[in-house]
Amino acid sequence: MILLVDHRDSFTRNLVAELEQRGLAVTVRDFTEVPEKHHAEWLADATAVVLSPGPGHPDDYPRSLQLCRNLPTGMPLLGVCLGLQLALRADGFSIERIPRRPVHGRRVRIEPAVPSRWLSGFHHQGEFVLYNSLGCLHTCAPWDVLVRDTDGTALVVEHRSEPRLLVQFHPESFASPGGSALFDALRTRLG
Amino acid sequence: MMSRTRRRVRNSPGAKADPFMSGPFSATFAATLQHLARELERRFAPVALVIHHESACREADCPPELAPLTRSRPHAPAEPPGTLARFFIGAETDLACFAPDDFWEALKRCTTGPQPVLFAHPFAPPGATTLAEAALLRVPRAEIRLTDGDEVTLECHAWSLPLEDLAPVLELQTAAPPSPPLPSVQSGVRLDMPRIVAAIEEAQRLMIAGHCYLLNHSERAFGLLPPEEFRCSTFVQRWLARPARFGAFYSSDAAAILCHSPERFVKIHGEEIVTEPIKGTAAAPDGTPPGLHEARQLWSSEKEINEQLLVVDLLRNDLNGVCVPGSVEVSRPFFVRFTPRLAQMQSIVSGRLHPRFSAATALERLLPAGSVTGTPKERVCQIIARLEATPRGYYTGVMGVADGPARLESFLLIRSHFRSALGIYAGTGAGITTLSDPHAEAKELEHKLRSFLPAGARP
Repeated sequence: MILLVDHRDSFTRNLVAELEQRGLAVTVRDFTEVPEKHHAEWLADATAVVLSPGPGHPDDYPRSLQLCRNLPTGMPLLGVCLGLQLALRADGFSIERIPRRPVHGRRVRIEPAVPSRWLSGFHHQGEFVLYNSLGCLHTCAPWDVLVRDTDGTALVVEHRSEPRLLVQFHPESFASPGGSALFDALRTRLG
Repeated sequence: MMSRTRRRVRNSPGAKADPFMSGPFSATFAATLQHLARELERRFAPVALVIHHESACREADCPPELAPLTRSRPHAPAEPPGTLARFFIGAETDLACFAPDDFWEALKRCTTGPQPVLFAHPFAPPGATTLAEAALLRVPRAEIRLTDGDEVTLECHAWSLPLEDLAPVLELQTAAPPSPPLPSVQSGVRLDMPRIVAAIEEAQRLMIAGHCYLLNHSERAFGLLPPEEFRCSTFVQRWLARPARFGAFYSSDAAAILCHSPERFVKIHGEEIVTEPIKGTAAAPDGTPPGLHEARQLWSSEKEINEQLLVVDLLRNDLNGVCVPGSVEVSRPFFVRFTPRLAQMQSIVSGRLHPRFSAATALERLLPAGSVTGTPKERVCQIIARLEATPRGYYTGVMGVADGPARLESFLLIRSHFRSALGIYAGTGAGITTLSDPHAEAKELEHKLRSFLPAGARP
């Protein structure tokens, strides 16, 4: 079962549908339901964790940050938009306003393809939509930035040793034709 | 007890030769609609009316370079052109509920009966426990359906009213009755521009800080219409002069509604559910009918396209909450529908309703309508409550008819006028993004409010 932490976004159910339609079982938990400790027990039945998008700054969600810090070794993680920011903020990196004026609904084209290490066979490639005002400009080990926006904002970040993939764009958007391949690869990996 | 009767007449070819320039109806339909409105309001109370009007071939699909940006289907089954007017006569049940739970419980109960259920729900943020205006629900004693297409049909269903009582009005008319002069309308609308500009700027500050991605700001104006305007026959005259896709008249002691809405909220037909959010409106200069020029203006605007993306993703999200996983699809992204005065960009989002949801339960879960809030819905509704000067009331609420537990049509209460304990009022709104010019948006709000004053009123 995939445990998806919902930060009360209006795109969360699109993310759930992408997973469920590929035969993956998903349990959605509101961010207020995340415990303050004993995360390993809370995740006992989970095969992966997904952190949803959401409004505001990662610091508004202390329980989700704590969950990121206590993720068991080997537990797969997908973070989308705020989800990316939470995982990086939990490791102490700064999340700030992006240098360019935020334009919600802007599309980025990722070309040439950038292969994912964890999701073998998956290449970040194609058109993706962005709905963010904040982002991460500077990060380092254990995270690798695979794709950056022209203003330096991290768009795709992968963990060096853990199965953790973070994307600033919205692969579940109907305006992200490149998104389907990510969910297909995730199903292959988790299915 | 249920009795029914039916009349029909074939429209002569060419009766609607130029649907756009000379009125989209047959003379028989227009004359009978006016006749019914006048006779029914004279003989019965209460009388309500809901009209669904599909005009022919006045749409344009987006240019091929836009469609591949999305995961979507190019086509959707087209609705046949034609008009359906439904008069609801008398009331077996007539409710005005300020507690949302009472309304939803009543709607679920009433839709198990044989009669149609007419309803109107005010705008309410997610999880609201009281409403600014009463949610309305009416089960009629009889219904008269008048349709226009290749032929005009008049059909009457009576459940708890003797058909003989209705018989005198049930004749198709070929000549319109002489129209009484329409009430004059106060048209000097002025909104508080500095306050609105400040509210829009504050919304943009919150957007740049990441609290929301799209916000629909709206305003109310009071006292635009005289009380005499709230009559079924007057409404019909106004609607025929400037037909909107969805027209509705409702009146009770609690409230009255005059609706001229272009926007469907949801239609549920068995397991099929569809929503058609509009974002992006353009008008031709000098009030001439809009065409491809206005459509291209919408397609080439970064702001309008981004707004459409946001609202389509939001409504996909909402449908995914009531549909079978994997069944939610977008068809005809960014197509433009033309009305006699406006070009409006929209997309069709559809899905297969999960068997555990009735039409009423699905509607309950989908409100408030995403195209009138912004994203993310919960946070943006908190911001709206803070930035808008008055409660929205019925404005941006939803109205419609349920026929049984699995069939429902609904539309947004925009471009509408309301009468209630709050007064006589109308609303106007605009989608705000980081690309919006606050002064231009504020002006647009005032312009929109003037643009849907009833036909016949001086601009």
